[in-house]
Amino acid sequence: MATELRFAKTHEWIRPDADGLATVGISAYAVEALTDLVFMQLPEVGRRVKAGESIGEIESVKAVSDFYAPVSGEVVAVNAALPDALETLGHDPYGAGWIVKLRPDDPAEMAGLLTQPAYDALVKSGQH
Amino acid sequence: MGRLSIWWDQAADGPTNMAADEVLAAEARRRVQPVVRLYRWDSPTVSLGAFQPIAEARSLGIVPGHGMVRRPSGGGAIVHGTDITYAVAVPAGHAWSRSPEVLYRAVHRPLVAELVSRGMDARLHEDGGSPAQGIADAFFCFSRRSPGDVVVSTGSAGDPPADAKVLGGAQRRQSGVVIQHGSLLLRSNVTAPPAWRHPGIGDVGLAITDDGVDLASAWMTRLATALASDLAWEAGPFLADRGRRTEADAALVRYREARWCERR
Repeated sequence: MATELRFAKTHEWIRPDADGLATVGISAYAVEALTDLVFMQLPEVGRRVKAGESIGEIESVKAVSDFYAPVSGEVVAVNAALPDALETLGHDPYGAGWIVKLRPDDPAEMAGLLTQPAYDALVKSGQH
Repeated sequence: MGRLSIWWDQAADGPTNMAADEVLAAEARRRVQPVVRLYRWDSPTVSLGAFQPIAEARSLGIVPGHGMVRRPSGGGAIVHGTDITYAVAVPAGHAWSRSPEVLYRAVHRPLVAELVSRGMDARLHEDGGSPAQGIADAFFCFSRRSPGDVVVSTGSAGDPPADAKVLGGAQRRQSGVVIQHGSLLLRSNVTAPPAWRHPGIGDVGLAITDDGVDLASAWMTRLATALASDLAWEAGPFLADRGRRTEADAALVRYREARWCERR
């Protein structure tokens, strides 16, 4: 897995892109925990979001889960094909299963998120 | 030893109940422990799951603003009026919050134990979801079966089915807290259109009081025991507290808006 990924405690990942944008998705652990996804609502392109703000919802069998902006910024693109192909989240959560692209207000904010080993430790601890 | 705080709340309309449950979630975060609200509805109300299409509701005669509210939790529609509804809010980090299945089983298993102690053939549904037979079957919670639902044997075979679902649940998982809604169906709602009706626990052989208070109280006692916690029945309506009432007011506006009811 790419080492440049950072994670929020709420199970979103973020990866800085070469063009100054950042790609956001949800972790493989979160996808597996949700199981049997049935519906997804994406944010509107152009929306300004703050770190920790809910930017969308995923419905699995009998549970609706919010997902959150890991950093503050503007939503510049969404993976519009994803709601019609939710299985992609399970098959390729860190690639084709990306959810939104953000233009971060402060790219340095990503450094405050969890590294892959720290996120793995969080999941293992059960304290999330 | 922990503490399981429970409010047996007064009956309210749909938006008020949903707003109160949002505040209940905040209460669980503040207390860093599970909290429960048990409640009824002050008039017959259909609650829709968070993403159920409004067009399907309309096709079944369910009209926004007339005894209809949309929950923040998922799952199917519930016809309230002859049920006891619960909301349990669990803070992140608690063992019950780790997966949807864990919380369903934690809350529903004590009811199964209570029903079995009263002579019922009750169990948690363990298989996958059941196939829907038509739009009404797909739409209503009590027509579906999901793992963690409570089903009881009706003593009959064939059609109608030998099992009846008497308790179903749905969740909303947010940063810092999980809220789970559930509905214990006491009796079939004979005032509802036939396609909306389902048998309740009192229709399949269990002798219960009209309000179901004795059954719900025994269930909560078992829930607290399973949690190894002291059971604390909290006094007064949940929103009698001024701070909670203020918190609920903003949510109440949203649950009353057509935009929320018709979001999908």
